[in-house]
Amino acid sequence: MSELHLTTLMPFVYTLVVPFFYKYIRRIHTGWFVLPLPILLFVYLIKHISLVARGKPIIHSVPWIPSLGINYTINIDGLALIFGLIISGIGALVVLYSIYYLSKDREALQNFYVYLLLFMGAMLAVVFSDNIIVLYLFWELTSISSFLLIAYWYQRKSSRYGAQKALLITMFGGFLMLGGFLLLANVTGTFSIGEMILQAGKIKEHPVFLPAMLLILLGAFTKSAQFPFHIWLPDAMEAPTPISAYLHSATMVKAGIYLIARFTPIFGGNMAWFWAVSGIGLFTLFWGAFSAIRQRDLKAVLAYSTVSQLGMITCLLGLGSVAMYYGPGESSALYTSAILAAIFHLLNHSTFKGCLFMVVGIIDHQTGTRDIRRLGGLMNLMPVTFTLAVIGSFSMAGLPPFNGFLSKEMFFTSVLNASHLDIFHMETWGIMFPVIAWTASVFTFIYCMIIVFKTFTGKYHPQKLERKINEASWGLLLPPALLALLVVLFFFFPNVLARYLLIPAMASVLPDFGKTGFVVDPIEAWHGWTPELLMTIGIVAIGTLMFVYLRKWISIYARLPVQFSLNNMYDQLLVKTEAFSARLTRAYMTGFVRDYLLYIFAFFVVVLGGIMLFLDTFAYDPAANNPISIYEIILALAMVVCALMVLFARTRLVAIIGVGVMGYLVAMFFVVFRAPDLALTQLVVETVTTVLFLLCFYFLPELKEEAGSIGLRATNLAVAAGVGVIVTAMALSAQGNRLFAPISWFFENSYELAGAKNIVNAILVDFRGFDTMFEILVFSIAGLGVYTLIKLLTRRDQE
Amino acid sequence: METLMSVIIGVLFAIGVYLLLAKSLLRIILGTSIIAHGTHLLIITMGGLKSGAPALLGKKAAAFTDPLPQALILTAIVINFALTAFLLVLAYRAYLTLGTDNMEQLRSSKNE
Amino acid sequence: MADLHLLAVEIMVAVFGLGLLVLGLLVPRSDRRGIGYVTAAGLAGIMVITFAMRELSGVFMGGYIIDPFSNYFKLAFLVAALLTVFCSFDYIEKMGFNQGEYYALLVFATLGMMLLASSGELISLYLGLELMTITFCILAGFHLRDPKSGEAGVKYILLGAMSSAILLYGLSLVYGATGTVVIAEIGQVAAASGSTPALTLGMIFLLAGFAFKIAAVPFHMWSPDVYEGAPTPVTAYLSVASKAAAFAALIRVFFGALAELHSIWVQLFIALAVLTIILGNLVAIPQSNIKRLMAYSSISQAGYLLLGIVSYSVLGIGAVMYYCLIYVFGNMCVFMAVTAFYNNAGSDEIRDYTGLSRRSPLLAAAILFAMLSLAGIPPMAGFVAKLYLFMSVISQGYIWLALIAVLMSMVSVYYYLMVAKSMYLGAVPEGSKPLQISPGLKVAILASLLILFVLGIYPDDLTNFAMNSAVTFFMP
Repeated sequence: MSELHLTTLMPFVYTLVVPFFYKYIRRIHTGWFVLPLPILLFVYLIKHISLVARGKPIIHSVPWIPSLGINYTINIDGLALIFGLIISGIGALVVLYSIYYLSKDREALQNFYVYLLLFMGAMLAVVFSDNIIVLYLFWELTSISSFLLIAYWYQRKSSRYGAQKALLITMFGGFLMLGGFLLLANVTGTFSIGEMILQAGKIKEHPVFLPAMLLILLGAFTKSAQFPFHIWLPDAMEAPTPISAYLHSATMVKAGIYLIARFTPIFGGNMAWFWAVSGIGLFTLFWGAFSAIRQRDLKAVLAYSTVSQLGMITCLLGLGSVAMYYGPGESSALYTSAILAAIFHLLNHSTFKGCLFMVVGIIDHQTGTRDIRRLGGLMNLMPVTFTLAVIGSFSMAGLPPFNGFLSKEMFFTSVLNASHLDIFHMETWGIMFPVIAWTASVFTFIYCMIIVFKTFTGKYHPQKLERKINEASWGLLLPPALLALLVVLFFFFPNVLARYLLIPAMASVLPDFGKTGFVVDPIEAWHGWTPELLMTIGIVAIGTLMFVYLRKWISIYARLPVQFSLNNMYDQLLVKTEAFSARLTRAYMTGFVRDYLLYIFAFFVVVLGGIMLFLDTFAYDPAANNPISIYEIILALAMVVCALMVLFARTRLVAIIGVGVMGYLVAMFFVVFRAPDLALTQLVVETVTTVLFLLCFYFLPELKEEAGSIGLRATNLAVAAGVGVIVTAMALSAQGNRLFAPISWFFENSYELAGAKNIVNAILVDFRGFDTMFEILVFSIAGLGVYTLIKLLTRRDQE
Repeated sequence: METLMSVIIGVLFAIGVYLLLAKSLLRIILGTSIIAHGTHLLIITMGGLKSGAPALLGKKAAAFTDPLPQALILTAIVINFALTAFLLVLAYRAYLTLGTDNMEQLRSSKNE
Repeated sequence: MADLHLLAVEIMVAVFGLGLLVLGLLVPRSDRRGIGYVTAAGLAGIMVITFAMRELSGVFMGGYIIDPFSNYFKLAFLVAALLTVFCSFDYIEKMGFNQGEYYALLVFATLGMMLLASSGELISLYLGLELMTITFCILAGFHLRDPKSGEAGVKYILLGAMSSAILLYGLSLVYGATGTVVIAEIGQVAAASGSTPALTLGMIFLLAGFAFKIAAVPFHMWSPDVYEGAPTPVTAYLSVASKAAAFAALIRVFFGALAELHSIWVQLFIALAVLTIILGNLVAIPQSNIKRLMAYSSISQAGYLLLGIVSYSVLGIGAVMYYCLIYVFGNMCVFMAVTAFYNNAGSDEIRDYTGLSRRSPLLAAAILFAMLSLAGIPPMAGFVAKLYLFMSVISQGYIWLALIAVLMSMVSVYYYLMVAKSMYLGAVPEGSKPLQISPGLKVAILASLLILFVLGIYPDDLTNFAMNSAVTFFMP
């Protein structure tokens, strides 16, 4: 265990302590005890920046399941570090925020912080792990902790629904991702991502390349809420707002992005990867922005905007993967910058979206509602909150002087470059990228304006609100203010950031390029009158126009058919599956032994008949038969007659006698077949059985005519006849295949070893005495059962 | 002879299975008995019929019947007896608690 | 008999069982609770001895094999039996069972399983199976006042007798084809002669017989009814130990005697596994009774276990062994909690579990984490077990099979989640009292939970032992 392992596992250790703080020190908000942990983690990670920036990843390994070659290897490279900083940094702010957001008197705080710490630890482990199994393990843990946090207010039905939906969708993806991982591990013989990257060439040649890629992408898309799996994210907004800010915008939903970035060195440069990642990303970008506008709940707006922004980052990663196609050099520089943009925007999004979520949380906390229709005119009442909202929203809309402007410009550069691509069929479809990106950005602009102006300007409606409005306490304002500060700082000093964080992260996404060094232009706000700038100006102009006339065109949303909405499909899928499986169960789990037996016999007839027919195992050779004597024919006929008698018996006495006679006939067969011991045993057993039958039947009701439809009887008859035919066929063909001399080894030495002349007896009591002992045991146990039951019954009669 | 035995075994099985599929527990028990008879005959047929003298040493014979299947059948007969006895008591008990020997009604759980 | 020491464990179990029977007759009715404690102590003692003798190996009278493989399974049976005894204390007292017989029967069932796991030839295998089956028939019908229990007994004995007949049939066909009942010799004869029709047919019957015992689709219909009707501790024991025992015997027969035919039976097992995994999981969804839910979940677990057989490799057998033990702990843990709940609330309906997390955090946590383990969610031991199974099939190239298995795990998460949702997110029913759980049961539940965690985080020793035991099946 290295120091690094201990540090990253600290949150789990801490979960054990938190309940005690909550239980014994109720006066102080539990959050204060939790707060130092993320701060320490943040500081600890900051210390590693310079080392990682120099291109030296930090790797430590501890064996976990050596027999499968699974080690818990921690690998902190540029990409992992940037995620680690986001997780611990935003984590610290969120904990601080939650101290003022959640009342220490009313809420079950120990649950909240235990789940939060679980998540934090799991998420850190996801991004730090080099081993895919460990990664998967913690990946699922993030899903589970997210489930627990969404269901934090489990009394609400919508919370339960949202939690379940999130868990089902993300876990579905997680399972598929595990499938993809196992495929990769099978090809490469290792569970380490680093070693897999070295074998990327081999993976590309292998036929499982495509399935593995798709499975892993499904994992990433479900987690990062990409279309059509995004539907869980808006419902996840039932979680307390600090959680939405933390898990559902800044960190957990970016795990999918992390996965895509992490596996770009393995899959990148391939057409399927390019289209899957950038295509889905682009559409998600559009769909999220388009859907955000119709929302009434501020958090729902933010949820869809998160979906949209995540789509943008995914799209950039897809565009950047083209660089792998060209390889290191000048020609790929256009595309490597897309990766830079992706990582930059990832960081920017965490800052401005975190800030916005906290702002919405403040509004909710102070006014008691997040419904846009009830809000308005808060600007004068909450000036600080208003300022923070403006910073966050304008950054998200891509306006200067905020960091969103820079990454948005870089995004436009990338899509414009992509339209000039002449590979992967981009020569025909390339123009789609800038067009859709621009349209989506217009919608982005509109919902950003909705967030600011519908809440803070316009008419104030005190009659719609339950309480008096005033500005929030400093504790609530400080975390978003810090994030807002970062939003501005990143705009003015992007290149410091690029040097220490972004470019090292790029080096992890494109490891081959890192060695030769990147050709990266410094990030600047002003490039002259470029097409990108014109696009931004166009967005502002058209966006403002459309925002002003929102009322005129908002009705188009109402025309979208409800039954085809993805949410409806999800609900229907669950309902239909339940109904289907209930029907399936009812259809065959009837509870009737008769049906069960029927299925089994039918199965046998079909399988055995099939095998005999197709594998040609039926063999019949009458030549080897022994001759038949007249006695045997009489015996056989008598046997059949008795069996039929039992079948058609109207009284139980006849049936019992029939079975009894059959037993004696079997004994006679044994005599004919030179098995005197068997004959004797059979005679004794049959006599006792018949007596038992007679005794027992005395207590049981008289046989009744079998009721039942003709169809039922016909099925029974058919199955019974089938069984008869198959058994005969088998018996016949088994005789055709004698392999051995029909005398076993018991014969030769039974006299010397056991001193017995009767071989069968020697076998039973000596050679296989062990078995006979157990046979006696079985017998005694049955006796015991009979005894117990009768005793219980008689006791019951007495009661 | 083997052919004849095979046919008889087949008939026994068919009748046994038909009884087994009946509703009355009595018929079911009778069915299991018939199938047991069939199985025993089958095993001894598999072991080869009449290919020698009884498996008793000391008799002057060139060949003996294969004793191992006989040992197996002996085991099976005894176990079958145990099972039948227990089944009978169980049927009696089920009849006492439920008042019927009809398997259709011996089904307390819902359709699930 | 110089080799008699090889049978030490079996002899101890048999003598112990008989002793319990006698004890049941001697002890006055009022003090019978003590018999449970005696059973627990005895089983624990035997378990310790078995553990100490885990590396013992040898062959007794040519047909009874003692090796690490069988010792491993014997330990698993003993663990399951011990947990079952803990489960039974309150339950059977409440039900007014005959304690002496009840515990003795449990012990004899264990003996039957041991016989199954160790038998190196077909006759003792059949006997072990019968010993186990008949004992369970009696135990399943033990619940005299409950008609469901009677139904369970009748169904189990009818269908169980059917399956025994099928198995016996298969055994005699295999014997007819090869002329021997010793598994190793069958393997040699088959290797020399190749597959013959009689052997193939015998193999199919054996397969069906075993499929019955492990409750694989389409031979599973008995299990939901029997599981629901049987007394809960019996259900618990039936669901874990008899399944594990059948798998042990199945591995012996198919990898030892019928290895020559593996190209055929692997195909058949694939079909069984796919059907079992899909149907077991799908049909579990609408269940409202927790015992029936567990019955279907157990069916699907058998399907997962079959994956290890399908892979026909050391990794596969090792995975099955590991999975069996994890499954014992996971399922027993759920059933112990279910029994504890039943003792208090008198119900097995899932809707009555609502709000359980606040009525008894321990029970809710036990069910939740054990179910997570059964579903294969990390960091529980079930995850590692499933990982091994998936790796074993993928390494043989059955990628689609692994994908189906993975996808169906998702379905299992869904129905386990429904129970968890009811327990954790549901409202506490009005007028409900906190649950009373006996200290013994509490300790047993906690211990199983702990083991599920520990084996999830540190599986290596156990998996190594399993893999090393599995190697013997592929040695020439």
